[in-house]
Amino acid sequence: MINAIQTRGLTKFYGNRAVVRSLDLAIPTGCVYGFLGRNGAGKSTTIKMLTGMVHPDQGIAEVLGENVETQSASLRTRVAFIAEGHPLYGGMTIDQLEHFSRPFFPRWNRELFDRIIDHFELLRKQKVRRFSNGQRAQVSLAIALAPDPELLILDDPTLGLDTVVRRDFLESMIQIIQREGRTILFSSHNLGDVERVADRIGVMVDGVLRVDCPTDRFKATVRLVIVEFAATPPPMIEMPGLVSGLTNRNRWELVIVGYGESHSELLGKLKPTAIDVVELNLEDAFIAYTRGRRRLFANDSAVAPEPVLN
Amino acid sequence: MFRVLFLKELREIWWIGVPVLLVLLYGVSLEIEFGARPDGEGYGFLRYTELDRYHPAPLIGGTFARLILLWGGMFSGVLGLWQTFRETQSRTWHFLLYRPVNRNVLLWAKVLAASALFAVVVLLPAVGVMLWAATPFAHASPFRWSLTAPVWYALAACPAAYFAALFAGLRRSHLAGTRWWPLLGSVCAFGLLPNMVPNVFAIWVWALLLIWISLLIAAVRDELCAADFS
Repeated sequence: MINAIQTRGLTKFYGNRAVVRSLDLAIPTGCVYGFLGRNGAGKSTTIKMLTGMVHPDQGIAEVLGENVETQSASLRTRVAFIAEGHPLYGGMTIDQLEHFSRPFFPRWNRELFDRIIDHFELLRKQKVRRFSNGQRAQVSLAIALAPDPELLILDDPTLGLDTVVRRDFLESMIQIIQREGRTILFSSHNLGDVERVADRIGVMVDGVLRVDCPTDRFKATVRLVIVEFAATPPPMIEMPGLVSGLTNRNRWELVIVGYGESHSELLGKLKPTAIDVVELNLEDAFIAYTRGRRRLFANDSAVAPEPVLN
Repeated sequence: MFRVLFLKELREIWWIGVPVLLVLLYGVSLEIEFGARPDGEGYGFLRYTELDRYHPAPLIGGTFARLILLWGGMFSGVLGLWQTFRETQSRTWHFLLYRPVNRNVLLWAKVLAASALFAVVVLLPAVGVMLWAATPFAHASPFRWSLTAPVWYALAACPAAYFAALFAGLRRSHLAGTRWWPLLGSVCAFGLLPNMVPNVFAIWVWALLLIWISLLIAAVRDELCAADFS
């Protein structure tokens, strides 16, 4: 399958700090890809590199088969981008924004634009600055989708939107664009949104892509393991896939990637009174995963959690 | 495409020209009124030196040229800053830069819109006064085209302020406010030059101005086309 987005060794430094480190990302055509990570993890910088706003220091990024460094104007007619905060010209009305945007795009679908504006019940003669955050997001979506893009890249599109607007926004986006087998890459802090719409997720931790797999696989891989002891638990032990651990009275609460027989055997040797393995929802799995080993070993923060790939 | 970009820029900056145009039209009226009078009263609050009292003829004494240099320069600087800081402040760079068009086109749409406004607000009043001064029998004093040299210099120096302001607005924050240095340099060098050199019509003055503006244009292009917009 042809990848809509492909990066190899993509790296970006701000000063001496690598904000994105050797990123190898492959997003298949037709995929809805949720890009996750804590603040400063490198999601936005990656998206800005993919859209040509920021130049990579090392590595290659290709969007629809074209190197982003030589990104042509014609590529931008095929790839829609909604930047964080839905920046639009506040002094323009929706009609003026359409009038401004339309000449750039040979495939501008006026009917689709009108349908989206009508669907969201937006007032065409009202200046954009008078719209709420949610309404601005809806206008941004209409402008992004009207050129009939093959790929849609969104940087935290639901930030600052209330629950109803957020859901409506995402569902509209999916309905309109994905039904024709197009690709969506969106970053988000809202795990519920990602869980609902993304086929596949990527999790950035400190500039490194630590997770790149189908959403269900990530949820299935990360487990909370509660180990009960009769008395004070022993000191925490090392084990494969352990990403975080907490000692709470007479029990351990461990987050383990790829929990299996070997873990059961290892924990069984400690003679616990009970071992409970709990499935996590995406949000809990994400929090446990990205918080990593910092809570487990105070001096061991450089150790990254076990990667979950494919 | 260029048309909508040009109109968008014009829509955002036209109002800045209104107060400047009013001030300059007032300046024009004073120049015509006092420049035409043999007793040579001064310019009121717009008078910069007492010399005007003794140089009643139009354009002599340099008051009108200084008026153009001061207000035209300020206007140009404000235009450059507004066209860039406004995009930064409203976070619209990403929207604008992602339009499927070469970034040079975006730059020249900004420059041409500012130039068009400058032509109406500053150039027309200045040329109007010069033409009036050159019209036979319009005033009771002699006229030579060389008298207009300081006004032409003032008009030519304004782009230095504009491009330096564009550069300051585009450049990311750097140590010790270096983004402001070209603007400061433009104001100091070309704003004060008429007071320091006996003949602003000298070739080296114009060559220096041309080189400086070319450097600024190159720096602005480089900043817009090659810099990160994070």
